[in-house]
Amino acid sequence: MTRTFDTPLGTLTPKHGGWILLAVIAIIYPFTVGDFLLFLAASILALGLYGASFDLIYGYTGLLSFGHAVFYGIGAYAATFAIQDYGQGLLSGLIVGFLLTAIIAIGIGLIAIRVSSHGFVIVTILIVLIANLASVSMTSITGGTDGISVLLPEFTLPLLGEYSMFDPMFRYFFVLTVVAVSLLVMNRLVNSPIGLVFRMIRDNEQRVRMLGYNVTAYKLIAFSVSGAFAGLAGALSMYVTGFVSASHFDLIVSGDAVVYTLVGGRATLIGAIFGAILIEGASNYVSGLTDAYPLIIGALLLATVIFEPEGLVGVYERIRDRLTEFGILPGSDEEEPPAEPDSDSNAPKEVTTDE
Amino acid sequence: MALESDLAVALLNGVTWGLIIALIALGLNLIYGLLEIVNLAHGSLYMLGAVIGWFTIGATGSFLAALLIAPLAVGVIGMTVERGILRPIEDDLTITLIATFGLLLILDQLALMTFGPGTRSVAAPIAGTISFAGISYSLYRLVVGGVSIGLMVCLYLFLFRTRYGTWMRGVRQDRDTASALGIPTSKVYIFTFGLGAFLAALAGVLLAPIVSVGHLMGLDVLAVAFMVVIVGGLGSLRGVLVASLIYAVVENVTTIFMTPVEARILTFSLMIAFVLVRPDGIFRGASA
Repeated sequence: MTRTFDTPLGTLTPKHGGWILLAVIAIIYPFTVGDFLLFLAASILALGLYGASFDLIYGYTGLLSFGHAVFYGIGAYAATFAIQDYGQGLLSGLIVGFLLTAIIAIGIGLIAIRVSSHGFVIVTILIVLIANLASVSMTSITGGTDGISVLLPEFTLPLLGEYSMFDPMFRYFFVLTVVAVSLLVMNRLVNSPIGLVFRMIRDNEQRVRMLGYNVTAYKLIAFSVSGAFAGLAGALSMYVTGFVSASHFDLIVSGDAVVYTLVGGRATLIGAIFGAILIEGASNYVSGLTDAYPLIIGALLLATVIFEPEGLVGVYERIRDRLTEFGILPGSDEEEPPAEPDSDSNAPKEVTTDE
Repeated sequence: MALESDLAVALLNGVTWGLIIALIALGLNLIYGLLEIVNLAHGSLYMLGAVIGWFTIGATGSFLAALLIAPLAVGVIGMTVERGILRPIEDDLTITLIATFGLLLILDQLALMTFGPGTRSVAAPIAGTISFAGISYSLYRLVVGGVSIGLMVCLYLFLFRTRYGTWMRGVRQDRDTASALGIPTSKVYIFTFGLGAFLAALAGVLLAPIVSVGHLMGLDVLAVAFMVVIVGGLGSLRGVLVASLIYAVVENVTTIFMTPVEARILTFSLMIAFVLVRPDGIFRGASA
């Protein structure tokens, strides 16, 4: 017997316990730590969203886009210009970052998806490199490698007054809210019929094509939605640091998204957040290691692809299965009823990975 | 008059640069064609060639020694990587791609830690210029162009006139049949990756006196090599040579009229536009 609770967001079952626990931790966390850790948490959450946006295109649709730094950077710059040159507020800055990146992602996608699957990877890499060259050389617009420091406007909450992004507590909750809403939207998408087609394309593109789906159109949807969320993450991370520079367009920034997703676990969305926490958190704590950051990232990537392709989420599921096997944890997935169709909470277990 | 001689020098620069790029891209394409591995670490192997070459010249004072030692060392590294890292995961294309990206990060960082930041220069073993028809041109660059042509002829003869080359082409066409016929496919794979790494490192040593040697030099060349492989057609050796030459000539000629960065942005954009028109490359991805 499983007890269920009806909530406005859907039906909760005991297997959502982990999610409720995570939400509680995320809300209690800021009251237990100092300003620096709050800053770190906000910046990691933004990076986690960036990783999750990559997971949408790679983990779910099977397209390895090494071009996500472009969207990350464009989102950050778009929000910067909206705020500094057009006097927009924080929310409109995010919206501009999201929409502009979506449009550019459609344009890039139209080129990249035409090429064969390996060509896709290479074209996306080249676009990052072009963006990097362009942004480094156009210093009058982008500030080059010196970048631009952004004067962020105040944010007015109804009934609660004005808040500044320089207030660590407000900054954390602002980022947490945007990231949580984005994850819910993305989760809704990947568990919708469209998301099912994404996964079908990943698993057997030929068959999807023969079933009469317009594969190119679905790939383009996945690519532009993923790019738009990467842009949102870029704008958000600009809010955290108040700074944007040409280094947002580095190839290694593209690589970061790959690393978060792979280390956290493919096709899980939330895995990318855990990946970002592990990597960015660890590299901040072990100060001696930050000098060799790329070395650690590279080694982690190799270790993940060789030893644990399912990442942290895979490790977690293995441990959970083992504990269930020994009767330490109650119940298993098989005994529970199939997922309710109206359940729109995060539930990575429902995702079928037939790889 | 000045423009004409500038143009002539730019053309010559374009041809020699295109030949050396072709040498790097051929290795990349050989690895792709046979192993179906998109080797993102290829630029780093080229960089390693130049860096190890720099160390060798420092230790022995001989450019020839660098030309022998660095490519062999990098070739061995390549073979080790194929056997130790890529072999266990070779079935999944995107996973091998990610692994080679990890390798890129590791190799570049190791080079930074041993070689230090910044760039160094290497003295050309052949000094002097050669003058003809009113322009003077660096003798070393001409020699590099000639050596590249020689190497490509050797590669062609090796692939099409020797038994091992036939094996390699056989494995590429049908791995299972080749294996059933007794061709040691696993050895062929290791050898191919080693050969690709060897060629990249050789290009690195040859280019060391022309470009500045540093841990970041791989990324530049990686982008260019991939661009010409895409434009030439994945798996097409002929297409790579043609695309390299066109790319290098266009970039060098446009540099007369604009800054190098603008020229590179222009050529990259042109090549991406080309990919839009012909996604399968110049020769439609024809084999060999």
